[in-house]
Amino acid sequence: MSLTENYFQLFDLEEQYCLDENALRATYRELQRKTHPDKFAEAGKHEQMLAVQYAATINDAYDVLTSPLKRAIYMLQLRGVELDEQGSGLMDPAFLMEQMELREELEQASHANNPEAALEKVTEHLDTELDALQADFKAQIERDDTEAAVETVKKMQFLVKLETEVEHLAHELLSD
Amino acid sequence: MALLQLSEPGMTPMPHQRKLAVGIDLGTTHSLVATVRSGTAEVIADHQGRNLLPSVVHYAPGQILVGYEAREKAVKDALNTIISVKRLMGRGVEDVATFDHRMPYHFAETEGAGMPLIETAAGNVSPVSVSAEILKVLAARGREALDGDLDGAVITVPAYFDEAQRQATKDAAQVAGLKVLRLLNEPTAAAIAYGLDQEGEGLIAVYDLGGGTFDISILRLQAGVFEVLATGGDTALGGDDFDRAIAERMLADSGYTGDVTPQLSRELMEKARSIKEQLSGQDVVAAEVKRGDFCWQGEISRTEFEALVSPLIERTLKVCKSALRDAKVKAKDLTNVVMVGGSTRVPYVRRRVGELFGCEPKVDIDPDLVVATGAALQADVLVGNRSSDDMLLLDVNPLSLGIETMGGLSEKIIPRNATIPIAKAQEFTTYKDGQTAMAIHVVQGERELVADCRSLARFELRGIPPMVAGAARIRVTFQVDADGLLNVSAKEMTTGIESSVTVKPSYGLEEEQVTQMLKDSIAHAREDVAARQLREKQVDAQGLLISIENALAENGDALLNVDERKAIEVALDRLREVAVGDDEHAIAREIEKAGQASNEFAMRRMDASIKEALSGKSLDAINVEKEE
Repeated sequence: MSLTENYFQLFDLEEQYCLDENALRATYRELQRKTHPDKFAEAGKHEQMLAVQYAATINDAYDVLTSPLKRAIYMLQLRGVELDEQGSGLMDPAFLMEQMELREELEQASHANNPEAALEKVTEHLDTELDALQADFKAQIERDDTEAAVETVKKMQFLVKLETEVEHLAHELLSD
Repeated sequence: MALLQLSEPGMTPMPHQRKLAVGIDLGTTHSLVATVRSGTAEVIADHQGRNLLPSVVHYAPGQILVGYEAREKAVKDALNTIISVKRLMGRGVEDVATFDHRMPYHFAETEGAGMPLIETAAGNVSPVSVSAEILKVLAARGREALDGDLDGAVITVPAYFDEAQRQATKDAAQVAGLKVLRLLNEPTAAAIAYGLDQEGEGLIAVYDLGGGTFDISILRLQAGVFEVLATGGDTALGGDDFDRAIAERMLADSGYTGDVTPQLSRELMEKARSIKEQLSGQDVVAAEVKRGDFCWQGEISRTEFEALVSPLIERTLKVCKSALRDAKVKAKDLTNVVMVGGSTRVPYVRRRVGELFGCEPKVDIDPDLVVATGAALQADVLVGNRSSDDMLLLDVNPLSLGIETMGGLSEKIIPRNATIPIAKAQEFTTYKDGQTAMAIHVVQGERELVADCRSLARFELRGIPPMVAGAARIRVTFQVDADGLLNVSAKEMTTGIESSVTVKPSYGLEEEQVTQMLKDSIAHAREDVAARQLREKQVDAQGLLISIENALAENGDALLNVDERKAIEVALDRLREVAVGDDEHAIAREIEKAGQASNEFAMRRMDASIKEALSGKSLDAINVEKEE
């Protein structure tokens, strides 16, 4: 069945890092229209369970394909490189220095006069760096430099983890 | 206008047989039922023309009253009159003890920490059975109005309801003898009711402040698909709390130092509610409460009321901001803000929400009726009266689901705001040499520590072959279905030993208990239990026969070879044979076999329809389907 296909095939896409988000979303909607359990509310139990499986797989595929980090990890996985989502391993010192600076910026943001605005700045900073890493990854994967691509993904993981912390802080500010 | 009818795999094209379906809003303060007739959704009123049914149940020996009659007893007989039971749904005895305010009822001493049982003159009752009484009245209203047995119901729940609260709601429906087509989130139901899908594209916020719960959902609407981006809420905040703030103010103001009896408490709350409602239209309200030694006489101005409830509204606004962050959208990007729930009648609520989102909130549909209306529209689609091509809902899981790992930490497996249905697996390992069993503790919530999350269920995977610590590979799979209900299974990968549970919270009901309650309630209605169960199985069998026959007629030739088709037809023949008989178990068995026999066929049809969707995606999807 088509669920065994890889996620790019499932969405009828070329296996490449840059995706057209609008087209992806349109395909997602059409696929859900065909498989969502709501279409099978009156069908037998087996068919309902099947629909849950299909729709769940399509949801997962969409989640992976729309997330720049998950998509990168997935592409490496298709090339036989297993990376866990937590991230690990050593990185170049310059990058680590930058991370420490960002972390400091984050620390200060939570004590700033206008913490929301300060957090917003950190987020912008992170976004710029992530954009650059995504461009790196795209180039590396296109020239089949898996080793370099792995290093880039590890850096992405670092930044995304930091981004999660920013989100966490932002939510805490809101729930005070 | 005659429309071209197109059938899809899974759909039963039966144009002549309209199915009877209702949408039910099971609310904290009141409940209601709606249905779709001649293409329009309408609320079904009672004989006196009243749309709402107060969610109040009164118990007396040999007599149960529901609705207005029960509400009349609320002050006089507070202990036997259950109001706001929704707040108790899916809650344990220990949760009830931590509620901000005490409920007047006497809770029965139960062994261990189970579901709280309320002592009444008619015996102990559980929140599930109280809710079932309300549902029974609404179901009867639906049957009478539609003149026939209901094929199914969509029941709404707050988007922020956790697993236990959802399961309790579904159990209550089952006890009331209803077939639940879907548990639908209240804000999503409201978005449907507003017919926003007719407007094309947009970003919608639904602010839903009911009697006892608050929800906010952010949805993206595109090409008839409602995609929930984020949801947030507070399942213990609502208009009741506005009333309480006024009641407490009256109490403090009176200088009364005596006991606050359940009767006094109820009376204060009733008066507070009436003051609140009047303040929507006037600037100041004079009132008086006298009961026993208690006496209060005075005025409450709108300004004063607004100051009292401001902190409560503030809480909801913070949740809204969080939801916007989660959805990764800005308030200014929203195209519509929809107001739902009786408490949004308060002008101050509208004003504050309008300020936050920077636009005038939509209030065109009566905020009390909008949820049931949306549920009715969805029910109409689910039973197949209306094509699901017109509209599709993609909802999310409101709270992260995880399992307990070493050190009492929660490892999240399914994050909040993930689109459902969803299935995720994670591998764990043993920590001791020779460990042969593993306890799995499922929790729900955002906090790191298990102690701060909600405990959903515990189960054990046994028979792991003895290995050195860390060698076993236990794969735990979480599956959340379209109702938002969780199923967990665990499998040891090196041996294939499997263990699975449908999550039933420790303070929820076991399957047998639900069946027993159903039996008791039917016995009460002097109906034959066995006859009813047989009839249900026969209906299931007919439904399955029709759906597979239609599928065979449609693409049996294209997708099956002669032998494969033969095998399915044989299974269908057997089912047809037993379905007219009265052997309930034989019917159940043949339903299962027919389902299995056609499983591969169902899968091929699903694949075929996916291919079709992909091939048509660059063109106007609807046109392509019509040409085929």
